Amino acid sequence: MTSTTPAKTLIQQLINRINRPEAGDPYALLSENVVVTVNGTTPLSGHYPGLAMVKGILVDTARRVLADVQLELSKAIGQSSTVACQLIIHGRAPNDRMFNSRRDACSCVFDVSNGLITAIALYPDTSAIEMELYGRSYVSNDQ
Amino acid sequence: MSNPSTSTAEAVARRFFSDLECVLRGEDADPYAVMAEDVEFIVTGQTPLSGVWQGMKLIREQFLPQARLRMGHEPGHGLFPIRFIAEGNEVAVVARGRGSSNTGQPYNNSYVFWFTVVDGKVARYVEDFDSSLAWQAIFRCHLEPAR
Repeated sequence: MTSTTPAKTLIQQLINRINRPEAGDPYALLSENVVVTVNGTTPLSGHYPGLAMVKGILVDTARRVLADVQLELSKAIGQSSTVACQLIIHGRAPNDRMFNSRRDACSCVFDVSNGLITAIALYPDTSAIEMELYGRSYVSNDQ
Repeated sequence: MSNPSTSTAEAVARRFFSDLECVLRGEDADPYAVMAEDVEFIVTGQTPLSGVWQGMKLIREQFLPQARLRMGHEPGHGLFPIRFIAEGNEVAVVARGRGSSNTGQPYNNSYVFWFTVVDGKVARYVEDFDSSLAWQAIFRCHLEPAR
């Protein structure tokens, strides 16, 4: 059984606000200097330092390919200001199919300081992003 | 304050990485000795090596030989843990890898490994990584618009 900590409560609040905008502004839970890193080499991958870059580049780019995004926290561990989570991220892809209809979880590590989230490192299924959101497929180099 | 199960779980995860490092240095060690015989072993993503293996027999007979066949073996290769985040019997390990494919293509991936430890052994192992990089470096594929 994992514990309830202020950091985990904050992360759950962020997820609630992303899922239901009427629950509050999700950005208000992030530090102005938050650093978001999306692992991999997909069009969404990268290092986004600062709230302006997170909103202006990452979120805006993601919105173009992923609508009605919903997050579910399936696991959260960590007794301090660092919390490792398993998140299920799903939504609607440009072809109107579900993104991550398998409901696979991906890893995400949050750092919290002074009641705000200061870093998020997301490890999504990058091949699902390429195939389901960007409509690309992996083709053998020998073909 | 850390409880005894947390420190045990973290010690088991640390041993996996230190034994792996020994193997890569050519020393006699078995990183998979920390796994329970009936471990649930999960590699995420949708690559040919992604999937769920139930038990060390399948891992030793199927997963590891297939993985070794695809990977290069050179000095300096390895998995380097950066952060251990532990609570109770679970540990998440953020790590970087340095490796190559069997054709010499660099394969430097980033990972989160999850270990669930029961009775001092890993009962569940999850390997989360950039599977798109694996497709391209290890499985010699490139991306094209889907037809």
